[in-house]
Amino acid sequence: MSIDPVAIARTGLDVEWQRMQVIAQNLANENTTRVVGGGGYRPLRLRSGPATAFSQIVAAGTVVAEPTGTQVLGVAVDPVGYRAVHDPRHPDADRAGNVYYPAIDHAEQMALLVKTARAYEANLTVLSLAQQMTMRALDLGKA
Amino acid sequence: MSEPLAIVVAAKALDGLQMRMAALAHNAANVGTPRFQPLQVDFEGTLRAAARHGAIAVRDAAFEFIAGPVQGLGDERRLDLILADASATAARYAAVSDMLGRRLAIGRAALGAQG
Repeated sequence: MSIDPVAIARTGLDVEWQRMQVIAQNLANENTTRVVGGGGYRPLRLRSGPATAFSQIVAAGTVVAEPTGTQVLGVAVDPVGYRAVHDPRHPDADRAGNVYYPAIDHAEQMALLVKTARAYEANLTVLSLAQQMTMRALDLGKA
Repeated sequence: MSEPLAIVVAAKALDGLQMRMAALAHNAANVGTPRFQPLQVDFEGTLRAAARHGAIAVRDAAFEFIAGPVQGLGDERRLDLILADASATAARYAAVSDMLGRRLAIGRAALGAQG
């Protein structure tokens, strides 16, 4: 909860890193046919939003227009279905001989991955530029 | 003779920032340690409270390392965030020491004018 650009960029680094973790988890489980507790793997998606406490929004009666950075709001299950593959000898095949893989859109995940990496880089740039500005200000009045 | 409050506070802030840097280095070195308690230094609050009681209180103020909660499985430590904190701390250190330098330069200029 800060207006300091360095602190804001830091929240961005944090959120984009976690988004990267979720995408990595989805890609790693692309061929998963069973999870602990039964059923198939459901891909996840990270939701993020401006870092403003809900109580603040309620108190203000409107969305607080303050630069406060970002935060993870939660990890939601992406409601894509399953992709059935007929493979009767697979250990996880059902009676009909079908194995269910998560219907993860590989291209979509890759696009999200690149977008996440770009956002992370952008936050790094903000961070280093904000610090450069501070350092330049330190040169004020010096010969 | 005691130094003005501003100089004592700035010098003490350098101490605190130095300690925070040590804590961050410790945390970075232990990124792979299981069940590690990351260290923090919250010197600003102590310094602010001491500054209300004058220069002597500021000089006697002691900062300490606070151990955070034990981090279990899944709470991985983030080297990039530690580095972001370290660079912010370094920037503040540079700013405070620059301020201190300027403040002392004023004193020197005044001494030169006398002599």
